[in-house]
Amino acid sequence: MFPILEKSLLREDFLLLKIRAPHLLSAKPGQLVILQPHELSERIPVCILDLWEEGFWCLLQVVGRTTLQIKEEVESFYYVGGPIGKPFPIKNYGKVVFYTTGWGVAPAFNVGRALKKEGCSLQLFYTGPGEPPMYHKLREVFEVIETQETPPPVDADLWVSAGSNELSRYLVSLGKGVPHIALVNTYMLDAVGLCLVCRVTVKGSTQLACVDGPWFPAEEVDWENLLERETLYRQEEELALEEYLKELRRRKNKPAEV
Amino acid sequence: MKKIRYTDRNPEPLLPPHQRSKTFREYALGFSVSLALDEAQRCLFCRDAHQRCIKACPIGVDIPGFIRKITEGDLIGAYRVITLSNPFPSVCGRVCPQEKQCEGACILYYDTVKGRRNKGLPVSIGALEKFVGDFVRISGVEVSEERANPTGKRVAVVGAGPAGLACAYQLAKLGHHVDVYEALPTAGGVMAYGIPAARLPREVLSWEMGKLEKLGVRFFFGYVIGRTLSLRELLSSYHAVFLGVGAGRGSLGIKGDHLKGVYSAIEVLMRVGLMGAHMFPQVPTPVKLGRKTVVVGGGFTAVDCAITALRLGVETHVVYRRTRETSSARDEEWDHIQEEGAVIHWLTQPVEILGDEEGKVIGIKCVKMTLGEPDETGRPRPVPVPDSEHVIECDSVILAIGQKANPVAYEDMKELALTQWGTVKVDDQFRTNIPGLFAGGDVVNGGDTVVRALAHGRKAALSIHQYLMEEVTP
Ligand SMILES: Cc1cc2nc3c(=O)[nH]c(=O)nc-3n(C[C@H](O)[C@H](O)[C@H](O)COP(=O)(O)OP(=O)(O)OC[C@H]3O[C@@H](n4cnc5c(N)ncnc54)[C@H](O)[C@@H]3O)c2cc1C
Ligand SMILES: Cc1cc2nc3c(=O)[nH]c(=O)nc-3n(C[C@H](O)[C@H](O)[C@H](O)COP(=O)(O)OP(=O)(O)OC[C@H]3O[C@@H](n4cnc5c(N)ncnc54)[C@H](O)[C@@H]3O)c2cc1C
Ligand code: SF4
Ligand code: SF4
Ligand code: FES
Ligand SMILES: [Mg+2]
Repeated sequence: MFPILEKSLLREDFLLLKIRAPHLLSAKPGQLVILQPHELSERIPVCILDLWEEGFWCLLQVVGRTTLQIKEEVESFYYVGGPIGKPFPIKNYGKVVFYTTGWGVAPAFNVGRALKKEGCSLQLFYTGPGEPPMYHKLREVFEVIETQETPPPVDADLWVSAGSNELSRYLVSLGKGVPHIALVNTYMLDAVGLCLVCRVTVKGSTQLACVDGPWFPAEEVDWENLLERETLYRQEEELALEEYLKELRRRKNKPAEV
Repeated sequence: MKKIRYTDRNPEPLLPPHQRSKTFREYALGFSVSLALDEAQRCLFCRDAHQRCIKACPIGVDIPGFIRKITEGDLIGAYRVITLSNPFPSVCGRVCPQEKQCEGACILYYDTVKGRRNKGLPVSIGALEKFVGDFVRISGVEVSEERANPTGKRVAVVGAGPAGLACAYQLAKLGHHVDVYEALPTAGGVMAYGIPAARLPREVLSWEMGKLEKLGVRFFFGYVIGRTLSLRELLSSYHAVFLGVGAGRGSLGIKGDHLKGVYSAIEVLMRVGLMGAHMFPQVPTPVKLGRKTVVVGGGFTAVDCAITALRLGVETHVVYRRTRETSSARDEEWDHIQEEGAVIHWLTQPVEILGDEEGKVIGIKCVKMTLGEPDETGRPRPVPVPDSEHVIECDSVILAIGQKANPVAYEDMKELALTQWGTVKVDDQFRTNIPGLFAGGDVVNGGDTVVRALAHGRKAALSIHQYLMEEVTP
């Protein structure tokens, strides 16, 4: 079991988790973990925010059944696997602009800090909802942080986008020609290259987000297909959430045990 | 002299088709004691069994030896005979393609020495082996495992599939300290995430795994070697490393494979087998095949997908470009899924998956094939029949074809010698070209059987043992 040592609610829908999992200490900026609260829980991919002596931190955005369950009741994880994926290519790119939304600030922080050490100058554009979570932590890394509903195409040596396929596709569609590395959002299952659920078409060939990704050159990614497949399990996800909400209500109504 | 019982083979009792297609419970019910005793009586205890059934068993189980013990009523003895060579009898008894291995070479059925078909049916070796394994499991008798004195040597095993597990088991018995690193949350490899519980119940598997823990083998789950730790790091902190990471599981590569509703076989099997998706929404992981699915392929994997889809209540079709005789799945499994309602389209090659404007699967376009000249493997090559194009309408397509290497564990070790297929190259002692690094199972042969992976793991363990004792200074 991998215990959650700290769990703080940043806003209603963002959780900061400190987890003990010493095997994750080899993680490099831009890598992820797979979390599973219980044996039959979903396996969800989550970016590593930061490391500490015996494990890691992550930022969790509550969006559905599994993330809500982690918020409501999970005290330790049955499984923590990783690090997963290839690290972000860290070097001095010059001026780097990050575009993020939601939990995307977590990889932005983790990657941004490493880029800053290399000498990059960094800006962050956040496209809601609300203000970016962990604002003060982000200030340690980013010279400029702005929240704008429509991300402005700022001139730079590199764009990095994370948190939403829609956002990455939008930036690519602007056709500014700025080199652009994006984190792709895909479903994941085993996360060691067996199930192919995380497949992405990159430059016409099939790549796996869990082993070849999650970072790809944005102009080469087939975003239309990713956006189509993103909604594959939408109905089932709603149903699963319903089921869990029912269970929560049942528990609340049950008289406390004596 | 005893009368040879050529034809009165005892079949293993099965749940009737209409019942078994509704449950993920095991459908092969196993021999009763009396059936097992009677079946064991059919064995002729051939003196040249080494050239017959034993030779055809990839792990060399002493078949007449264990069957004789059954006839003597000594089931623990039978178990000991089997586990001298095969650590997991209750798994192999269930999943081995016996008709191509031990049973295919039983003299009652085929005379391997004279090379001709005999007049009878083989002894039910698989069902007997399963019976012995199950008996010991259910009886609660603790069969003590002998373990040599600790040698002080440490071995890392990468991957907890049959190859890695057999290697760990053997090394632990030889007194070595063994740590197993596995990416997934459970041990078993394909046995845990691929083969449906209806063929291999998970409690059987966990019982078998328990034997390793009793021998002191330590498991580290959630370790993705190549990421969490590199092979190089393992090689520097252990005296030897065994690589048993299996193969990548399947490829796509058919036009339309990006559509919604196209799945790899492993995705479907894993959702159900590992995540319990058949219990959705009580469990959170869904599986979504629609009302009608088409499984593409003709091996174990295709049959397992059909078994799964049928139990999910989905109309199931299987398309395979060759014939039943040339397929690698078990004959009886084809019968089983057909009885359960699967429609099998032999000699049918899919050419394109069709989708609607929302990108959802609506059908699969196929052509009929006919058998032509033999190919490199000696199997007749299927060739398309002109003007035979047709569409099978469906809501989902499961691709159970092809296997690729899964190099995550070793791709950063550029000096490791690979074959042209990307599998790891080993010599006849399962040594790679890196000193102290051994490999076996599907990572070496690209996709085979559980028992062959077990055999590799076991033989590699003996070779590692020799290496540790002769080449590694304490
Ligand atoms: C590479 C990557 C990195 C991520 N990093 C973070 C992070 O740092 N913090 C964070 O809060 N979230 C992160 N996510 C998203 C997170 O995995 C999903 O929000 C989570 O799986 C939702 O689960 P749920 O049951 O709560 O919601 P659901 O209602 O099940 O799903 C909500 C949405 O999340 C996505 N999703 C659902 N299941 C999975 C799955 N098994 N794998 C991938 N996506 C899924 C789908 O787009 C879905 O529509 C990341 C996703 C990816 C692909
Ligand atoms: C669906 C299906 C059904 C089958 N049915 C049968 C059958 O009925 N009978 C039969 O005899 N054979 C069957 N086979 C074939 C048989 O399962 C395989 O030949 C056998 O499992 C190979 O064993 P292995 O130990 O080499 O690899 P696997 O069983 O593949 O085990 C490899 C293990 O290594 C782990 N791993 C991979 N990469 C890493 C990494 N980087 N770090 C840590 N761990 C890692 C994997 O998670 C896995 O647990 C089937 C195969 C499939 C796919
Ligand atoms: S291990 Fe498999 S092939 Fe060998 S005797 Fe047992 S069932 Fe037959
Ligand atoms: S060949 Fe058949 S009859 Fe002979 S020993 Fe083997 S199982 Fe028994
Ligand atoms: S998550 Fe299964 S292959 Fe990537
Ligand atoms: Mg979910």
